[in-house]
Amino acid sequence: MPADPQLLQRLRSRIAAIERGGSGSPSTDDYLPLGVTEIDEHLPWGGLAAGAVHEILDGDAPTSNSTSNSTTKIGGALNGAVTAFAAALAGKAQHTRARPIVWIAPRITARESLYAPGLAGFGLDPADLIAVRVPPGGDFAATALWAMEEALRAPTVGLVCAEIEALDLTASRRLQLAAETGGGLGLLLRRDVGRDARSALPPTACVSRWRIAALPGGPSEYSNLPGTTRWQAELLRARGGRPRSWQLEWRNDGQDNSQTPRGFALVPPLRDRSLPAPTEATGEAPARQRRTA
Amino acid sequence: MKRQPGNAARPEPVLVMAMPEGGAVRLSAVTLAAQKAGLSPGQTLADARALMPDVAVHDGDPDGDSVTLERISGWCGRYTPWTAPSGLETGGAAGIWLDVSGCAHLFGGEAAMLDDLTTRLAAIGYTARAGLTDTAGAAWAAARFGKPGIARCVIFPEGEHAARLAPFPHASLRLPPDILDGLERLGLRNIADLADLPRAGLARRFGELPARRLDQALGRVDEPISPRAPAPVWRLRTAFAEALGREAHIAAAARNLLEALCNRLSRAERGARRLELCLFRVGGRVDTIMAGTSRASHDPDHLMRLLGEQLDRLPEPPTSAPDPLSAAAEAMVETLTLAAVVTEPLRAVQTRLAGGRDDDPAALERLVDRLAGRLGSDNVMRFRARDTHLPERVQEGASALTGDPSKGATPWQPPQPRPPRLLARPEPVEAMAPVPDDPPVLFRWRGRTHRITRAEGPERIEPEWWREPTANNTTLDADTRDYYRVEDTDGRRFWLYREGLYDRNSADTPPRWFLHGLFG
Repeated sequence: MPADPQLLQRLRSRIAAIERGGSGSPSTDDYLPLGVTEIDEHLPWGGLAAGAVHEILDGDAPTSNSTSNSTTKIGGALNGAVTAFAAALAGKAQHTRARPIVWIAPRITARESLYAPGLAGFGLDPADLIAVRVPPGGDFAATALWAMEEALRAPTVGLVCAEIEALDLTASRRLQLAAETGGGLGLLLRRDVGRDARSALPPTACVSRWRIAALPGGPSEYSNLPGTTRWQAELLRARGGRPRSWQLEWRNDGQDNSQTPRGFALVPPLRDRSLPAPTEATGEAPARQRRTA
Repeated sequence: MKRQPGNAARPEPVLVMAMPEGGAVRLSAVTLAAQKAGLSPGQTLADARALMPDVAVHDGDPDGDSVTLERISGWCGRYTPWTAPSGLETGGAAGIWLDVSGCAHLFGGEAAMLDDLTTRLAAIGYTARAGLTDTAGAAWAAARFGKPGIARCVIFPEGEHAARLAPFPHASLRLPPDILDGLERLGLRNIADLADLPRAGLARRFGELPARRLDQALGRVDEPISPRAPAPVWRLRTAFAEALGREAHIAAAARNLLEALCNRLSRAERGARRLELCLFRVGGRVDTIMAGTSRASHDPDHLMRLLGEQLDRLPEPPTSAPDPLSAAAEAMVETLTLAAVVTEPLRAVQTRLAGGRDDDPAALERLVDRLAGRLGSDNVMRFRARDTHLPERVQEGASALTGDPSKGATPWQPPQPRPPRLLARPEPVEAMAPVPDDPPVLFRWRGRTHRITRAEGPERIEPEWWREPTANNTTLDADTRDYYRVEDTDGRRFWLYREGLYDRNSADTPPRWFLHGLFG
């Protein structure tokens, strides 16, 4: 007998709320929808659960191939794709939760720092962003975790993004607990170390784990121009949910004045992506001009 | 002079400090015992050795002296917020100015206060003499040339400084040696003689300095001295009958002070932006904790959290005591002062009856304060937009403590796509661009080769020629840049630029390629 999907959805969110120690009906305080129906319905919380910490792995190859230096231990800079994805999520949180964003990064990555005009292109308003740099030192990991905990406990923060590499089960439990008490929504951005089971990152207490990697961009009017930003978003693990993978793209990354609502969308299942179908063109951002400034 | 560790019980040693000066090694300081034996500062070491062959000589250290003086000056903050070190340049022994107007009654009167001061200094190893008079000049003289009463203190009762100073030698007027010699040759013995002289003649012979010093000592002209730190208006102090050793007790005492201070601030409708907590330790050390807030606050809970954060992480104070037991005793705290160094008007806020979690705008500021307290205020930033087209200058990180700078600033939305991550310094890449003015077909960055499948550009950005080249932008602003947004085979996107133009550069210096940003 086919179950009513809406009933299932309601039950799932009830159970999720009970699991988090909370109760009552879900509101925008309780979850952050991605705005893509297929994904939001697949997730047990109707989006990314608030009062929880989510892990997002950088699926692209590291920007620095030196594996022995200190950046591996305390976290080097992340790739553009995962940064853009997190910025897009943070922008969503800024709008739906109407609260500022805190982004915590090790100071050592200041040479590849966040760039506000680029973040704005993914819907994150830099005016409501507080960037925290953790200075290097002996207690680097502890300080970074402390900063994230403080931010998760603060009730006026919409989303906390932290680039923290070293994370064990205890530390992630502490973060999860801080998120539950403060109702904060945390994203842990980490680099992926390996895809097979043996070398994969050890499990954490985060409620979900994603892997984000760049995909070749969407189609454009001229085939040699980069089109819309696209990601391979893999849900590797979700508490109360099943793993799955999607191909996402970002609609209207800012440079056009099109009326397309800005946000995530699933990559349309085209056979040949390099040729835009006429039906797709309405959903796409109008093709960019090749210009010389 | 600081006591040598472990020497306390022995009789005062005959000890001198010597420094090379004007071609000869001269004594810079002598102990009391050495003074009795006929040694004095300014003597050559050879003369001193002739007088006392077994004198112990140490190297003088003027920098160390001034650091120590500064520290003692800070320690004296337990008596009055207004203290200033008085260096050696005025002649005589170095000293410390204390303006104790209105402070003496807190210590049971002037005599008791000076007694307390010299006794405590003696306990931490310094022999001090104190003078207390109506004017700074007279106090200087009294401390160095007065006949000490009890506990090495000289106090001139109010209004009597002129009469009391009369028999003092001229040296007590802080005059240089050549003037002193001159006065001596004229047969003038003491200040009374000098005061009787006609001013015009005195000034003709010795300049205006002797008359000015005399007037300053007698209080006829004002003598401004700048204090070590300006005395704050909002300052509270507490001293303990029994020194505190445990951190929890110190924190509790600080909390009491803070609550009293916050009470006073809130009654005056002001809030603190910067707090300064000083811990006066038994060993003479003063630890200072500063805490800043992003908006004025008189909430003791919040401010205490900021102070407590640093209180926990105070370094173990260095100590001169040989054994751990007396080291611990030296680290005990005997006095605390708390000052709101910077305050701002702050109206009382009507709190909501129901206490909704969304409606506390101060919560974010509290978070920022805590983060900045531990990480340093320049590590908690907000981005500020600048009106420029140079990519690396568009964004400026400003400390989040300094309020909300972004409102009404230049809009962020760029006309062309910009990467979410920007390299602080563009990194040179090896690029293969077979056609001039076209994007490269492949490039190598950080040991990895990227084959470019799609590219957009160029976006030409000219250097800001109207700006003076500075240390930060000499290389960055050098030449015209053509930016390309490129995508490699994996779909990763980069922001590359070519510096320089083909036609401007000769064949042997081809334009160089740089990577400036990582696109999403």
